[in-house]
Amino acid sequence: MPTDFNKTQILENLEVLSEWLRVKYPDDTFELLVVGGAAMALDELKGQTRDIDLLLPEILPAALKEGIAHVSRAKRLPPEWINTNAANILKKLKPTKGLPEYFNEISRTIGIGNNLKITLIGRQALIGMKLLASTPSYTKHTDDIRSLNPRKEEIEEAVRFVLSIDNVELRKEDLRIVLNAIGLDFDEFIGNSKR
Amino acid sequence: MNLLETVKDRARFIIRSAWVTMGIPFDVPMVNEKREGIIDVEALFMATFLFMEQDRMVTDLPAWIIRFKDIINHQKLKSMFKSCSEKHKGTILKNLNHDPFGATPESFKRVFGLKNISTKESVQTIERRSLKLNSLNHVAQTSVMIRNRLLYGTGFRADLISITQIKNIKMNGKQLATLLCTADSTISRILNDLRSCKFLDQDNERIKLIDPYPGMFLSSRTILNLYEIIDAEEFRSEELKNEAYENISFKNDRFCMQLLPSSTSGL
Repeated sequence: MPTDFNKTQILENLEVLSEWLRVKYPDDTFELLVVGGAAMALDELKGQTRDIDLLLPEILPAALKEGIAHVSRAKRLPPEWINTNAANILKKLKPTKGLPEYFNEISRTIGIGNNLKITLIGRQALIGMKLLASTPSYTKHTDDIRSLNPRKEEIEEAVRFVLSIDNVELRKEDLRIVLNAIGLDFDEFIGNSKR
Repeated sequence: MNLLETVKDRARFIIRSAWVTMGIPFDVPMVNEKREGIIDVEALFMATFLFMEQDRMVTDLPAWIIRFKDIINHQKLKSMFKSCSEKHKGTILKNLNHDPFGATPESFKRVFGLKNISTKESVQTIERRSLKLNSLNHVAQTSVMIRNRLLYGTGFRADLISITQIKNIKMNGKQLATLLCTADSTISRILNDLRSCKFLDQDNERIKLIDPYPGMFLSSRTILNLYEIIDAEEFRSEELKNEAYENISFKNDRFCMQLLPSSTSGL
């Protein structure tokens, strides 16, 4: 069973999903808002990813759930090769004011067949989600942030986003270590993010 | 002819054989339930509607429905229709959109939401075809499900009793409810009754089973398998096609066992 997919493999798997949906639900169309490593891989910002994280739909409709399971069996993919874990985390931690406007921005869309539209989340939300997911002990997300080569203002906004939903001391300590690992000084941002 | 057309053609032939068992005089050999298994009447309807063409079936089936309306389990038919995907529902409704079905009883038309009214010409054709149908006496000899409906009334009790005539059925209440497309509670209540009067043992097997049937020839499982086969043949991806065929289970379905040569299905 393959554990990591590159851009070509992601697209091939999505094409199979599109075909399954076309045959089983010929009158329906589906749209996925992709975040995380898959969004980066599809934009050629990283080589491989383990799964496809979705922000939308927050809850997979039955047709998609079924299709993902069938494609998983057909292509011997992990059962959660497409998942809503990121959406679930965000739903749980959502800031009281709601998500920043830029979560509605998209980078681009990819049409798969006539029935499946893949939308890649915008860059600022991608950086924010990556920073939210990063921990000092698991460097994958930190590496991804490095690959995104964010500008200072983008990191500043990402720090503001993370602290708006989790500003306990432990999180701040983690952010300090993560930012340090990518050559940035957390204290420089913490002041700005409070503004 | 592609594989799907071959499968459909073969399915139509087996369906006609099953209708001969139910008393429609098609020019094919009948399914011998004693040898090949029990035919679920409503599952046979569903299989028929899925593949029906503009041929004699279109007039003979309405004739059968009119004649035998009291021994059709409309509730089961409705559950079967409701549970099928929009795609296959569309196929069934398109295939039922033939004038003679407008002459069927309201109870039948309601199941599928049919609104058409038959022409005088269709009604006359149906009446003529009706004369060719086998008598109820005869059908009761060839179809165990119909015989039991005549004995116990048209309903799930009669159908469950029919199923218990299968040797080593080895199915629990939930599985039986799924097979008969009804609620677990309905089957559980009937099973309790049948165990209480020592008709069934604790494993839901008949206590005195004489002359058992070998299994189900055509059941709700057949319908699920047919949907799976139709869809599988539409897939261009070999991986999806293989996965779809892997989902096919021949338990309670000798129809598809006959339909699919093992070389086609890879089973």
